Amino acid sequence: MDWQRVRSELLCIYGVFPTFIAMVMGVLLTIRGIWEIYKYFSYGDMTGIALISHVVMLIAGIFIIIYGKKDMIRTIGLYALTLGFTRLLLRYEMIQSGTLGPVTTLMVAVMMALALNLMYTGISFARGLVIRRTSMILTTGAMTAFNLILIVFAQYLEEIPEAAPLLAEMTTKMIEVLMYLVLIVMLDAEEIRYGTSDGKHIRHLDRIRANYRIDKDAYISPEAADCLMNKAGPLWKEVNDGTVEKEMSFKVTGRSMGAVIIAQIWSGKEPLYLTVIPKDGTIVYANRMKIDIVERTDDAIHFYGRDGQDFHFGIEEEELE
Amino acid sequence: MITEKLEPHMKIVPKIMVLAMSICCIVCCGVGVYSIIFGKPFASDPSIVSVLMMIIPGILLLLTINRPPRYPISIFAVVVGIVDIIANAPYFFSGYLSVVLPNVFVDLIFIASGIHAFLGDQHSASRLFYISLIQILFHTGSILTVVVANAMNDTPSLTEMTAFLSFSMANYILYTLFLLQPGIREETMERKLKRGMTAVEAMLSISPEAFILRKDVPAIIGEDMSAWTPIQEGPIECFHEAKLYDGNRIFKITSKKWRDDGTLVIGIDQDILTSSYGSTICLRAHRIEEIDGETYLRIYGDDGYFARMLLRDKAPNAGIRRLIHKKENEEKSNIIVDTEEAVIGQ
Repeated sequence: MDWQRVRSELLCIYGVFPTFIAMVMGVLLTIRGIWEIYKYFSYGDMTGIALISHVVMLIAGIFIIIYGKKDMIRTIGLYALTLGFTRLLLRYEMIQSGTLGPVTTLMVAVMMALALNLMYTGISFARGLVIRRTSMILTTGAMTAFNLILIVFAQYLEEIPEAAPLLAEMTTKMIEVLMYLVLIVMLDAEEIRYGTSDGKHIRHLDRIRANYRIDKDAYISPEAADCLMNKAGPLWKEVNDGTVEKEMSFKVTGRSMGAVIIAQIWSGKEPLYLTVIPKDGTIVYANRMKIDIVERTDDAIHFYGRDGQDFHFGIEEEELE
Repeated sequence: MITEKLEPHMKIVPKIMVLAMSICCIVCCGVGVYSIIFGKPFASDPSIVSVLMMIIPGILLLLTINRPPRYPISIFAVVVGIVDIIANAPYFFSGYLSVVLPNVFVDLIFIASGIHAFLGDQHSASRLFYISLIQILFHTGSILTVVVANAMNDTPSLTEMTAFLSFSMANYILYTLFLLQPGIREETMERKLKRGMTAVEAMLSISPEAFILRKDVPAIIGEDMSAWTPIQEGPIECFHEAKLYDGNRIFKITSKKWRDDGTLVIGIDQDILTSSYGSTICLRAHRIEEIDGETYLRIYGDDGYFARMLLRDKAPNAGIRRLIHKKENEEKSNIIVDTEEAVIGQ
């Protein structure tokens, strides 16, 4: 079995996983909205406030399905905002009904406070800013725990008449738990973790680090080493654009970081020109070097430049165990 | 972060933890076998099949003892996750769906994170850590429920179930501790920021008080080459390393002599776990200068390059350096800050 291929395919699946979950979030909101609106028109046992909250849910669900894959942060913001807003309306409706006792009112008030915080944090996300991520996780976690406690102790609460409105729909509570869990999973996605202010700084610093530093155990593939030594081989591509004669690209892998190096041979010039970048793509800021001598030992390749460059990479197969 | 580097194999403490996890799994299975043989009430529990299946992770974990840590991490998460789903399956259609569904959801995340960890995603280990903590809470709740139910005598004695839950919880505790081992989980954001800043500072920042030792000057500028190390092959004929002290940071000053034309070059790089691609200047001239009672070594390169380094007679005492920077050293030894990046003197 070609493990590298399986691994890269699995990583691709994990790469699209957040988009898939975003779709699930949209679908959950849409189904819930449609179902409740259907109930309103079929049975009519719902107030106008509840209807508004479910219409909002349906619209947000459709919006997330259409635009969810384009902007993960705003999608999560909209989802959290919708969940918070609808929770707030539904709990307000419960209080307004006047059927709750003091203890249940207090519980509902706590839920409303949590819903408000979910809306507050959701607004930041909806504006494209990852702010108060931990607060959103904790709020959603608290709402999940609250619903789970209600579900687990439902059989005991049934004996308390004033808790009846809270226990009216345990299946709904369970679906809500799933909706909250999906949000918590999404908040752990890489795009969100690195969307914070600190995360963005880390991304920039990692790029600078990858451009200018080498892990002491960094290595390149034997094929890349051969091509660099011989200035010929399968990795080299003919360019011949008047400036560059040919170029090759190879990956440097290290314990804590990796980089991509583009090696070029310019027309009529002897040295090897290296451009170090963190990943393939736009190249503006990069570490550019002129290498005059390349030497190889059994397990390492050494580069020397008259301008001061002096470094080496190990030579290893990229295959994992 | 997806890492593609082969990890080193486990040290003795993690190996003992994996062994203990394996034993816990086998004991869990043993409790099930005992209950069936002796006709205990636990044997009629719908989850007994999954209890017997705990032998599978037990054996598989034993086989991973001499493997890198991602093997036991992934095998535990995937196999125990599947076993837990099987344990929950009988309750799907018996009125407990509302309890079982979130549990199964958590198990699915556990399994997915286990596979992702095996593929090299270091953040998955952090996720597994938190899920494992949740499982410990679930188990505590379950044990308390069984104990209370036994005390109220409204169920048959479930000593075996309590024993099973206790060993299963011990398993998760061991797994959580295993994930706390240095280098297994992803570094914290704070630590990553520090790592990045260390690299930038290593390349771009040296304080005005940084100094070299006066006695090293002749060797650095190539006047006294008795302490230089010869190299038999390659374009560099010989080199010498001296130190530049900047508070708690130490930089390496490497002087090199090219074999072909005897050019002397000098490079400066901080002594951390990563190194630079090499940035040196050709030493064209030098002189010692006095400014405000301090002595400096001034060196000149090409195209207007010049540098100046303060001279001192004594290196800072290593013990005093450690004392002054106690806070940083404590941070390095904190097990929660699970980093292998030796950030020196920040």
